[in-house]
Amino acid sequence: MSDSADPILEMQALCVTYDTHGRVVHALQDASVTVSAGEAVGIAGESGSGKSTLARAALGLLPERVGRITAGRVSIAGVDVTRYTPRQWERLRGRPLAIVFQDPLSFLNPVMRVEAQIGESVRRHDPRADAHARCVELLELVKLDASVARRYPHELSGGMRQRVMLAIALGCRPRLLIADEPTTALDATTQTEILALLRSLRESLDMSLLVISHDLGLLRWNCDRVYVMYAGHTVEHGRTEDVLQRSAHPYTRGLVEASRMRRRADGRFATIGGDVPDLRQRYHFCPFVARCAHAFATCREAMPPALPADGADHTARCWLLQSQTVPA
Amino acid sequence: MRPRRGVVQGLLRNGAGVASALFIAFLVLVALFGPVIYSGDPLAISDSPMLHPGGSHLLGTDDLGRDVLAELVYGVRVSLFVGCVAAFAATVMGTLVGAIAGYAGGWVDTTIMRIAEFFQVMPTFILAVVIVALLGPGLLRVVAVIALLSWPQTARIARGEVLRVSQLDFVNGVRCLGVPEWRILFREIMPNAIGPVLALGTLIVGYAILLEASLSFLGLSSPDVVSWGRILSVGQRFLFSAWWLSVFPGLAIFATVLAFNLLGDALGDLLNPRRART
Amino acid sequence: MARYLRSRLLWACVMVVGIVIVGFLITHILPGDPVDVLVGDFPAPPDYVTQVRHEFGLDQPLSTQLGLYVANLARGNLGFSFLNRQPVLELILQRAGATLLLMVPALILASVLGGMIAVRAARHAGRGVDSVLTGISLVGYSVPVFWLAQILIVVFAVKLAWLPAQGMFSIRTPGTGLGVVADYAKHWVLPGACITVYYLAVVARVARSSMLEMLHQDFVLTARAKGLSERAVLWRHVLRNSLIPVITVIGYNFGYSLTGAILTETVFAWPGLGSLFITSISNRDYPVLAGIFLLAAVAVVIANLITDLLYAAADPRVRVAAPAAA
Repeated sequence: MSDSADPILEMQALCVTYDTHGRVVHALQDASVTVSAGEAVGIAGESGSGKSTLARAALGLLPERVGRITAGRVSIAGVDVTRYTPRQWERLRGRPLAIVFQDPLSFLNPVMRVEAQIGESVRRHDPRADAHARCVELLELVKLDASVARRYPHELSGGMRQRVMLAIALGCRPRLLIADEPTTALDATTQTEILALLRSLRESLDMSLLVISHDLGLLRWNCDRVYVMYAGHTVEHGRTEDVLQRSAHPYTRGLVEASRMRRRADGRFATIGGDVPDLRQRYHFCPFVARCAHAFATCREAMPPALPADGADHTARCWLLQSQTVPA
Repeated sequence: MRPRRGVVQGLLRNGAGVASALFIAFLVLVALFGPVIYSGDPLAISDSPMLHPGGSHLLGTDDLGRDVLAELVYGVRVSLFVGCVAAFAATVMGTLVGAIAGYAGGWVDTTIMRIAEFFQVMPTFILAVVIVALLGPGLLRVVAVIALLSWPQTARIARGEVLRVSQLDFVNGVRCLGVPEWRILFREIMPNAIGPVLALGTLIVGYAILLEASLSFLGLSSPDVVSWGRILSVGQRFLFSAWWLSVFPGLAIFATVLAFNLLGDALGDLLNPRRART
Repeated sequence: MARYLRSRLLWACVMVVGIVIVGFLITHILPGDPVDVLVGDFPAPPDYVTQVRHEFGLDQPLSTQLGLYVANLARGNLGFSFLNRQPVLELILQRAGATLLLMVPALILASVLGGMIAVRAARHAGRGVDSVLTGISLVGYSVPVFWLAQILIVVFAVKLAWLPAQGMFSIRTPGTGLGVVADYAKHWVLPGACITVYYLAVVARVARSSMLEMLHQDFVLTARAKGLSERAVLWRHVLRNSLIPVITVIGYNFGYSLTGAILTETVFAWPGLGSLFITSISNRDYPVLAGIFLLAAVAVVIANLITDLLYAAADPRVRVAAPAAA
């Protein structure tokens, strides 16, 4: 692949709003994500944190007229694509970035055969290749039998459909593959298979990976670096090990505790108290303040910048780091 | 789970929907109070035939000297009667049958839908004409034929909606509470399934009015019933000399059907379950 | 797919049987002497009346009557029209040609135009263009066809004298060749427009809502993510999926187009089944009425069957289960 020093994907302080009939939702309020060649990066967060919006914004797939980038920058391989028109996006999508979605049944065209859908991808990005041969090749790559090519999506199982989605994305020969909740709709055994597949593909194709998931375990096993999102902000970032084991942001800590499912001293499971943030407002202060046990005055006044935490390249947007107080 | 709260507001936002609703309300008023203002028999000869519009006969007189405006006013009742009764009957029948089919599933479902298809295959207009030709004219007959051949459409929609709603999780939740099946169907599922059915019902009103007008246009309505279509059939004979006999009744039919179709569309957009996402 | 089609074919045959029974009921059960229906109100020679009584077994039990009725139908005996001095079946088949010449071009034109309008409207949904186009379809859907016919005649045939007002051919028609076709085309314009208008509206409405729904489907997102051009997305993904409900609506609404044909033919004196139907009413030529009813119903069944075929060809999900029709 090209030897550019530019990261494949770079999002800086990105803000995205959805405007339906006058009701405005600030889905992304200050998100910054960078993915360079050969990396596997994860984005953790619950529903409503803006992770899917981020994935779509990376490809210019925000809903027409409803979704807009209102501030910040998106660059792909050094090119600023923030103000790209749909026409320009058409030419760009697929090759540098490809995406795999969550629920393959609704994301695959029900009246087209598998080979046709993969073939489209191939013909668009590999016009000189033999579409049929390449299709078989791709199916092999995702460990599917060539006979699947003639089938329709509704004839396949969930795991098979997810692999077909992967094959379609790989047909674009992407430098970076974005996987939006790749295993959420699948059962546990299939999840493991798909994850192993993603890992092996990454290695064999020298492809970067951006995995978006609420499942921390998944991110731990697959990603070198992880971002944590809350209320449309990227609140923590660093190497996976640092972020998950030496979490600096109270929200991350809450997430990690909750995912462990260990009982606390009082016999209850760990949760994060309070309600999900209301995205109809813009947060110019820390959005987690209402649910944070360690909040103090400054937290309610201004949004903390990314402050260094324990570990190389580990930062979190929390005022606690500035006062150097790391609570027990 | 009753999603009806936003309906009135939503309807008000749709300008065309409001206009058509108002127009229909106006028609209802005319139907109810018109005869009071225009007392007397509209079929009685009031003046010389074929008078141009103007003067004491705002819309002229027909070939027998009857006042066109009076006939139009009385015609509203006939149109509204046929339209609303036929649509109501078709909707009620169709909803019940469709809901049962969708909820019961299996052979009950298949049998009912096959029967529905059979009724739908019958060409409504032709059958109506044949019945009227053989048995003689009559509004109730027309209403009956329309209702009998239109309920399958409603049944299909109702069935589809019931199928969709019964798969939603809250139904199982209610089931776990021990609520009997029939109650689930009527209390929980149907109110949520009603939306598209109502929209279709409104469209059926328009269709029924057109059908009745077509029948009277062909001379198949009883002579002592004032129907817009009948005036049009007279207009057909005097197409080049008495334009007012074609323009006004046709306009009346067109405006009425348009209003009901607009309303039906507005309701359809509004009550579309897929809109609930916003 | 074969299983699905077989079950539909079987059901179609059952429906035809049902139609025949309804036809029987109309002619035999309704109050009045069935002879009137079978012979018509036209003065007929008494021996013919006796012959009919015998042929249809009108003095026999109902079940035998049904049997004889079916047997007669199978032989193609739908009765005799004294008004037209022809066997009913022959008469109907003769006039069917003219009706097809009226309806088929209209249906094709309506489908194509309706589709184009729908694509336009869906692309610009919610904005000016969409409102205008939707408004036009709504008007087309609401206007009484016979009134539209009258207006068209007054404007185009009388005031402007551009087009003929009646008939399918001029009296002084050139016998053969291109002249005949041109003559037919000239006569087709106004009545054809009447039929097209309604159907166009139906197609446009369904196609538009179907396309709008498809445009928001998830698989369209996947298609865009692949880097496909908007045109490719529209044609290969959206349209193919939108077509399915449109096909079914066009097909299953075939019966309604027959109604439109009847009214249009009446106003324009087009020599097809429609005007035959009307003259038979006023002349109480009942066997023709019953015959047209049977033909129309069977035509709808056949149209439905063809639609089922097209539907199964277009949507692979259907071939797995046999749905209770669209």
